[in-house]
Amino acid sequence: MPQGAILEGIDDRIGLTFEELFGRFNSMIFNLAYQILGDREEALDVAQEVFLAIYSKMGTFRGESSLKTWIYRIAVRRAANRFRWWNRLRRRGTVSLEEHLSKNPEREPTCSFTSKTQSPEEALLQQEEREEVKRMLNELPLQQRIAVIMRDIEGLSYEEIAESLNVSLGTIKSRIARGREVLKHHLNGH
Amino acid sequence: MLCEKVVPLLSEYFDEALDPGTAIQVSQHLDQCPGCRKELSGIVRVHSKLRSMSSVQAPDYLRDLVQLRIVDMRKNRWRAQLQDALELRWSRIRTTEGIWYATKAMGTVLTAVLFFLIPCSINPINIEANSSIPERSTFSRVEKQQVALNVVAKLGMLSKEDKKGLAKPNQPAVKPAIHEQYVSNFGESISEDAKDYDFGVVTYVDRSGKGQALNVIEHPNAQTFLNSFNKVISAGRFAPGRRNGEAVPSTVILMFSKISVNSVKD
Repeated sequence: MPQGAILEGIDDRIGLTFEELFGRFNSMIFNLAYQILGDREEALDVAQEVFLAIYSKMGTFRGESSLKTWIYRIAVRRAANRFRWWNRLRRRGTVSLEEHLSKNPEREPTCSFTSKTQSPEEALLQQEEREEVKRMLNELPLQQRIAVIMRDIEGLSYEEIAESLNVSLGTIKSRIARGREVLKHHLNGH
Repeated sequence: MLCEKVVPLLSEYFDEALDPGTAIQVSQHLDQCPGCRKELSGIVRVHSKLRSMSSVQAPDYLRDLVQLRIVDMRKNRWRAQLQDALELRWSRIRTTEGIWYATKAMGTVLTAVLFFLIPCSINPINIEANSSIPERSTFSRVEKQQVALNVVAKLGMLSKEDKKGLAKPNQPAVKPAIHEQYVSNFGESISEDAKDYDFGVVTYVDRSGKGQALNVIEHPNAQTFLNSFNKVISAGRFAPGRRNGEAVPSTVILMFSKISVNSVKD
């Protein structure tokens, strides 16, 4: 079977082949899952689930929302479900995602944003700072975290976030404002 | 505009999500208020820190993984779709607090009901406490006499004195069930010498109603008793068995057990 043949399904409503859709959204989905879950392997697993869901639901896409927010909705739901599943394990006293991460320290993959002109010290400092922000982000309640990630990291508009999460615009504004407020206090404390 | 009103709007102001009028008011306030400017700079700092997280690139092999799973899904499309749907539903149930606890509560209730129903089905709790048929012990002495007299009268074995007694108007007319009649009189009157008063007699009844005892069940002195029983029933008549309105020969099993008969003769 030729490479890529599997991904050649096409859907008229979407106007993209699955291959094109994968190319356009794979980093976005993986990154969103990674930011929500904070774990690379989990994000990889969720990203696969998201693409399988997209593949099997391409026929049900009505075009009522934009393709981007439709995909975001699927990705956020899957990632949030996975996160809650980890939380449930923690409540049962088995393990938490945080424990799992602390036992299996996750180093961010070689970062594309690291400038080649940076000194090793600067790069290390920046890396530590990112780890600290990530830790603070993980302390936010899930819904606030998702809203903040979608706004400040993914760069979605308020309307897009509201549509993706299927909540009102006011709720999104409130979640983002509260999330930022908490993060601001954390940063001021350092 | 006061600081208390401005601070909650700063996040939206930063994102340029405020309506123009409010945005101008906030802007004018910020020009004059260093405290709110500091708040805003805090939001800017948070935003820039988060932006510095930047995006994490998906590994190249994600494409291969997705491809493999799609191939697998196509092979077992229906099963995969069902599994996927079930997994999704289940993940929603297990991750939605309310549904999860409601499911647990429902399961507990159903289990409790089940454990209640099983013993109930083995030992039904609905026992007919109020039977319309009176217990034997509820017959008074007089009633027992009346029952005995009725039975003997039906068999045509009453003396003239007994017939008078039966006709007494002040005695209540008792019409017990047929098994009570047998129990209360007939057997005892002929088995009073036997040690074991529980017995049954297989009796042949012809079309005319004449009976003949054929066999005695569970009686220590069966043959002697059989003879004496035959003497007794030779004086009476049975109602013959009937089929389609016509009298036919039949076999009757008469069951008797102990009860005092002396009361009849009082």
